[in-house]
Amino acid sequence: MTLKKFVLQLVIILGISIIAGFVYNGLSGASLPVFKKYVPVEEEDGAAYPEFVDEIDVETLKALLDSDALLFDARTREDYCLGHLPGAVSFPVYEFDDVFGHMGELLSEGRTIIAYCSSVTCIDSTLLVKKLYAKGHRDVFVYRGGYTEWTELNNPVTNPQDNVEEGVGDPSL
Amino acid sequence: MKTKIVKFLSSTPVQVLCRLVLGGLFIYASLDKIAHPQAFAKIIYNYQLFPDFSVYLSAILVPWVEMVTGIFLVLGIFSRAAAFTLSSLLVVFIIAISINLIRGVDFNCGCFVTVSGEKSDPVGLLIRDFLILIPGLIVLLFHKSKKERLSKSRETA
Repeated sequence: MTLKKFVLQLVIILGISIIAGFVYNGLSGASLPVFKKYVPVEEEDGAAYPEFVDEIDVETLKALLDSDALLFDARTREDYCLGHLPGAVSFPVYEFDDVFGHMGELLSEGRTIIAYCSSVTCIDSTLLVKKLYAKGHRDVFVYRGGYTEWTELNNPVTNPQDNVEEGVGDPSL
Repeated sequence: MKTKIVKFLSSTPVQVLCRLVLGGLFIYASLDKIAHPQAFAKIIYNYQLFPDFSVYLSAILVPWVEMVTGIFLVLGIFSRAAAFTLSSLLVVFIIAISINLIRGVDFNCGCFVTVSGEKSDPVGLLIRDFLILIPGLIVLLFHKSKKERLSKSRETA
């Protein structure tokens, strides 16, 4: 194979990759700003965030829920509507500032807080716990397995189609 | 002996196996990064090696280079160029991990999943990346196109 042919093949592969990357980024819901300097989500407001968070497993989660812990669903409202853990309150992390304003009463009770998102591969629950930590809440945990693990273990879920107004579900569910 | 090894490494079964393993691994590795670009951007940032303006660009492009090149390699199209691209990516990963190993920086590899808050074992990662580099080098150095194979068999005939 000549060097010219090899380089041409490289250009074709990389060209397709670059086009695919930009097209997907433009069309996907979670598109990134290409020419913007990176700022970590947790540092956008200049608050002090912990580097790592405390994680709990499903058994600890159940024990904490029995002892009146507060459970937050960090996923989008749409995901929350499709099904969530019983008693969970919708708290989409990317709407943190808006939702946090509505949570004053709940958060002032000083209860243990647990957050979850879709599965072990999502970061929304980690971000939410870090943001709550920065707001002064120290008794905060991430249920790492998330909704996927919870349902895989055949635990019950709640589907409240009418319970997400203002991003807040009914904790008594 | 040397000819035998070269013949073995150039053989179709070895070449196909290497293409499928390397291409398949990179396609798999790209899926979670494509699904969670923000999380991948954070992982790139946490390596503390790349300028801030390049973080988003890398988070957008690297997973698609992995995906597209992996598909080319699995399908056997432009195999050498695809193997070169993926091997080059692996070398970049190896250099990045080595620098952070030397500096003692805790980081999340972000190789296959973008889970945050997990620290990676850099030595284990280096060993794994060197192992994955082997099929890449075999394809890069010993792959023969159909044309090359045909002209070789004509020569021997």
